[in-house]
Parts: sequence; structure tokens; C-alpha cells
Amino acid sequence: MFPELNNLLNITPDRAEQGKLTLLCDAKTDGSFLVHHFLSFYLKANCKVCFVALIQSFSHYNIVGQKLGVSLTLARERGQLVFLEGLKSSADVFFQAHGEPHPLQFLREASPGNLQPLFEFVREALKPVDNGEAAWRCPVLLVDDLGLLLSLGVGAVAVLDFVHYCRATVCWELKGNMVVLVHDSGDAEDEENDILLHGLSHQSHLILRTEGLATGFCRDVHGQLRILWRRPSQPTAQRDRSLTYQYKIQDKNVSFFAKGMSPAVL
Amino acid sequence: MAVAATCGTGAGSSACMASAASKSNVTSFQRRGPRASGTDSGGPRLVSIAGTRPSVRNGQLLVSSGLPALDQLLGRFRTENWDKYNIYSPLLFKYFLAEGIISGHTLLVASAKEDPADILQELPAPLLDDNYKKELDEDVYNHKTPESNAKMKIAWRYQLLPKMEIGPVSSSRFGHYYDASKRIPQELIETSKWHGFFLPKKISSPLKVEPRSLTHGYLKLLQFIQNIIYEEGFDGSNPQKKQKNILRIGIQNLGSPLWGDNICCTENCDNSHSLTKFLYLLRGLLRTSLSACIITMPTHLIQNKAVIARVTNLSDTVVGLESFIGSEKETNPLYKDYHGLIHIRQIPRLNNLICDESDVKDLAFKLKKKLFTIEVREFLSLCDLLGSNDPPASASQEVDYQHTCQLIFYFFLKLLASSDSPALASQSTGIIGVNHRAQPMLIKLAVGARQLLETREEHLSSRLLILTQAERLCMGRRFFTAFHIFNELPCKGYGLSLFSAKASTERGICSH
Repeated sequence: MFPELNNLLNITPDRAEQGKLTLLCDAKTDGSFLVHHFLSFYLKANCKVCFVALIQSFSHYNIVGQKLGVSLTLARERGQLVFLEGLKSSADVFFQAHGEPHPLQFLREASPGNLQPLFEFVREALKPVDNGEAAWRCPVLLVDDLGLLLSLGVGAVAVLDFVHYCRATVCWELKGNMVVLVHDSGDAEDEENDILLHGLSHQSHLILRTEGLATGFCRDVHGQLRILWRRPSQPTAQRDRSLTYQYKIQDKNVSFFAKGMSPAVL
Repeated sequence: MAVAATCGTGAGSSACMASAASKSNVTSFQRRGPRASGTDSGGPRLVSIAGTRPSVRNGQLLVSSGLPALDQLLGRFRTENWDKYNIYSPLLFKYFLAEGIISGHTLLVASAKEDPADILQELPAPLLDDNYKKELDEDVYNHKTPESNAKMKIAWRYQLLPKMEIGPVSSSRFGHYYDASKRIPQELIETSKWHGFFLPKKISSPLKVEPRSLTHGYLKLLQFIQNIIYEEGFDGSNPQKKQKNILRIGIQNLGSPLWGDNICCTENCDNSHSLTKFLYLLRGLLRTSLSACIITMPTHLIQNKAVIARVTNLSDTVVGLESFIGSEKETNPLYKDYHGLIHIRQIPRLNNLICDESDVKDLAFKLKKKLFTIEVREFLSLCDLLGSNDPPASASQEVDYQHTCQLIFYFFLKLLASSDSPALASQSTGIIGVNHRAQPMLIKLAVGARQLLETREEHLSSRLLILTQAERLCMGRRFFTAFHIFNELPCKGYGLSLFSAKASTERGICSH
């Protein structure tokens, strides 16, 4: 986790909020560093994490996690982390029929209807263990690249249904958190992606939007991060709070600064 | 895509080690300096694979793309290669395959248009020392970089090894040069191991599994790749007895109608997920095996822009080639030395927060008789700009404008260039108002200014402000180019700003 981002968001591992849906959105840049941040943050906060990783392999997150101070292999062995690796199991699921429905069952279908097996998997992973001891704090669901489901043939409405079910279970019933990443296609006229993105924006409590700089590539400032706090359940009588920062990604850390105040310029 | 790489020295035990298992497993990776020669290492001996190099940064193994310049830009591999009008991307494709043959990797070539055997015949010949061609069985021979290296304008780092391993095809170097005018010698092809997938031949056999939303062609190709990976043991499931190797997959013209996909034909087709699903499954296969893949796609044919965005998200590296043939840029004097532009649209951030981005984004390529070179796009020098200027065909007002701003600029630069005392130069500030139609001039001015300022580094507080018209220039790439040039100036002392404001049509110059 990045300490500076924790300060900006006003959260600490000891005092994590509950019942929140966080939307990570990136436009014209790569916002995956936020996924690494939240993964390491919640693991350090002693939460039970279910990570649906569709776009990258386990070792990728593991290696970056080690730089950030968490060991994913250890967490997986202890049972704190449930990791669904999409890439590794995709070929298997596609070519061979399994007995019981696999979470990625929709890969086999010509026109996939729903993501119910995936939801069942998440629910199974995050349900509280009944042996009495409260081993972990609130459950957390992390999805890396929800928009990838659209590329795999699932409709936008089905994905929104999936998010709704997960929210009802994870955020409301189990008092946990959800973090999802969706790429913003910008001017690529991807209607389904836009539907998904807008639908999620209205449901989420916190939106972290990374954008590239409007003027193009810069070596010292990698992009701009917009933080938007929302209250989706209440009518917007009060204004949502929004902050904008620019950031630079380093090897083990990401430094944030106000717009135009990059250390390289000052 | 997994790329295993080790820089193999002649002895075989290299300084850089690689993980022996599948790409995803780097637990046994040991970081060593790339130049260290260590046979007396205390750590476990790991398998070294010829023609590859580990990345010190993220524990991945790197494979050369066949163009050393491109290696420096990209670093690693599962690349998509988009070419408008499909003229130059086959060239990069062939470089990739040729590199595979030279390094002794296994190849898998898939195409719907040409027979893979024919593709292999057309690969460029490697530029080697003459000794190589004469005696293939000689024990030890030196490899010298060909003279063409001098033509590279930028200093790229290369891992060059002086000695080669014994064997007809094996070369443990990372990255070779190729002669595009010659064909690869036949014996090299024959000694290399390759698998071909030619769609018209394979399509006739009936499908054993039901379609499941992939077009027929993609499904067959995926099965073929999976079989090869499994049988040859690239995914670590079969213990390979011989030396571990890399599988280089090349797929040509994916997405074209020849594969049975109709995303090129209509904008909203029913089977639009076929390509992206195929890419996802392919990505899964590559991630769990020692392989690298290059795919060329005819993006000018694909009408649905959303598909292109999704394909970009699914790949690791995306390189766009824009050739000047047939476009208006062909006659543009700015581009007269080059054949096209290279756009690096995406670089992977694998196993790392940061990626190996190069600082230079303005790249152009040219195909000379023998070589395909990639260079930073050079602008006209200051002499050109002050010397001959193509007078624009429109009103004389513009001509005056350009000449005036040339004059002012020249004056300003002369001031900078001639002044010896830093104190005097530190006071010099010029503001030039530029009409939007003088856009090409702006670039030349900007570059000229930068060139001059860079040579006079002691003028730390010189400032150059250029006021330009906002709307028009903001949309143009050239504005960004000029902006980048100023932004990339390393020295903090340069307070260079490029303001966009409403155009001042009067030729106002203020200096303070």
C-alpha cells in the first residue's frame, strides 16, 4: 500500500471502512497500481480477500506485493486470500467440460447469460467460517478488470447484475468492501463499457479515476488521480467531495502531489 | 506470454539466471549483474536458454524481437502489431521469426493468407560476420557488430557477447541484425524446428468440439497452439530432456476476413467477441508456458473502434505502424527521410509497478535497402529554417508573419548565442506571438530554440515563452510535439512554458 494514498483517502489499515464499493477507473493510462495498493492494504488490515484476477497471473501480483510488503503466497496458504486466476484456468475451462460448474463457466457458452457461477464462487469464498473464532475482519472482494468480462462475451447488464448481487452479499450482508477496476475507453465508442462504467459510478461510494495528462507524456508526472467521495444512498443534497492529485510511480511507491507541484518542476 | 531469457556466454553458465519452470514461476530467480561471469556461484544452477536475457528489473525473461532498437523500446513480449495498410508490419513479423531461427527457438507460424513455409522462405538473412557463412562447424568464432550500428542515432544499450556457442544455428546473443534485401539461408531453416498452421488446409478437417462462440478458424488455431505447447513441453508438464527452449508464435493478420471473422466487414456484428475471446485464451496459454507471441492486425480494416480498444487491453505490448505511403505526409518535408511513424501505444508493466518506458515518443522508421531502422524523428535544423522557407500559398499576411517571427526569433537566438556573459543572457526573454497557420514554423522554432538552449547550458534562467492560439493547436499533434520537447528538458533552470492563448493576430513582440 502506498502511505501517501492512505493519507489522501484518510484511511489506515486499522480503521478500514465497511460496506463500501470503490470504483477504480482509468482513462488513457494504466491504473493497475491502485489494484496493488488496495490488495496490499486489505491484506495488511487483516481482512479476508477474494481476488478475481482476470487479466494478470498470480505471480505478477505476488512480485509486486512483495515490494509493497505483503506475501500473497503466505496469505493464500493461511486462507486469508482466495485467488481466482482467470488466465491459468481459462484454457482448461474452455476445452474440457467439468462436472461441477466452474466460476468461469461463461467461457464455454456461446452467448453467456449470467455470471451466477462466479457469484457463487465469491459468496462461498467470503462467507464467514463457522468455527467461532473471528479470524479475519471484514471480507473484501477485488475484481481486476471487470470490463474484461465484456470482451469475453458477457453483456453489460449481466455484469451489472453480478455487481449488484455481490454488493448485496458482500457490502450489505457481510459488511465488507468491494473494489473493482474498469477501463474507460474514452473516445473508442464502446457502448457496453460506457453502460457498465456509468452504472458503477452511480453505485459506488468512492471513485478513483486515473487519467493521463492532457498534454501528453511526461517523464516526471505519470498521470492525474481524481478522488470522488459519493453517497449513493442519500439524495445529493450535499455536494460530493472531490480532489485531484498528480502522481509519479516509482519502483516501490507512488508519490502524490498537487497539480503542478511535481518535485521535478519546482 | 512467457519469455525465458538468459544471456548465455560461451560457456553456457551465464551470469543471468532464469527460472527453470514456467514463466510465471520466478521463485528461483537470482539477480546478478549482467556482466558478472560467475561459474563459481553459490546458488543453484539454473537452466540457461539461448537467445534470451533476463530483465534485472522484474525477474522476467526477455526475448529479442529481432530489431534491437525495438527491444530497447519495448523490453518484452507479447506484442500486437498494428499496421495501417499492412505494409510494414509483415517486416516486423519476419524479424521476430528470423530472430527465433537464429536463436534456436521453436517457431509456430500461423497464417490464413500465406503458407507458413513460404513465409519462412522470405525471412531476412542475418547480418553476420563473413566467417559464419564460410565455416559453420568452426569451434569458436567472433561476432562483430555490423557497421550498420553507426547509423543508429541514439545510443542503445546492447548486450553483445563476443563468442558464440558451437552449432550451426545456435546463437546466444540477444538481438541480431538482419539484411532485409537477402533471404535467410536455406540450411538455417532446415535445421530449425517449426510448426506451421495454414488455415485453408486445417479448416477442412471437422471440428471435434462444438463452436462455443469462437469462429472456426480461431478455435482450430487455439487447439493447435495448445497441442504444441503440451506436446513439446513448453508449459512444464512434460519434463523436457533436452535444453529448454522458447516457443515463438507468430500469427499474421488476425482479425482479417480470411480467418472467418467478420469484424472487418460490419461495424456491429454478432460475433464480435470472437476475437477478444481468442486473445484472452491465447494470453492464458502464453502466461503458463515459455512462449512469446507476435500478432499483426489490420486495424485499418476493423470498423468497430471498441474492438480495437479491447484488443489493446488484452495485449501486453502494442506497436502501431503508420506508413506514409499514400498519405499526405509523404510529401511533407518534415518526413522526407522516413517511411513511417512508430507509435508505441502500450508497454507492459509486468511484475512491476513501473515499466521500461523510453523517454522518446516521437519515433519514425525507415526501410533502407538493407536495414529497417528506428530513429527519433529529427526536425529541420536551424539553418534550414532560416534559410529556405516554403512560402505558403495563402495571403501575404501570413508570409509576413512567418518572416517576422523568423526575424525575431533569429534575433533572439543570436542574442543567446553570442552573449558570453551568463548575466546578460539571463535577462533575455522573448515572447513570440504566432498565428495558428504558422504551425509548421512553430515546431521548427521550438526545436531550434531547444537545440540552442541545450548547447548553452549555462544560461540557466533563459526563458522562452511562445504564445500560440489555443484551439487549433491544441488539437494538433504538432503542438504536443513542441510541448513535449519543452517538457523533456532535463534542466530545472529552464523555465520554458508554452502558453495557449487567444491568437494575437497583430505581430506583437514584447521582450523584457
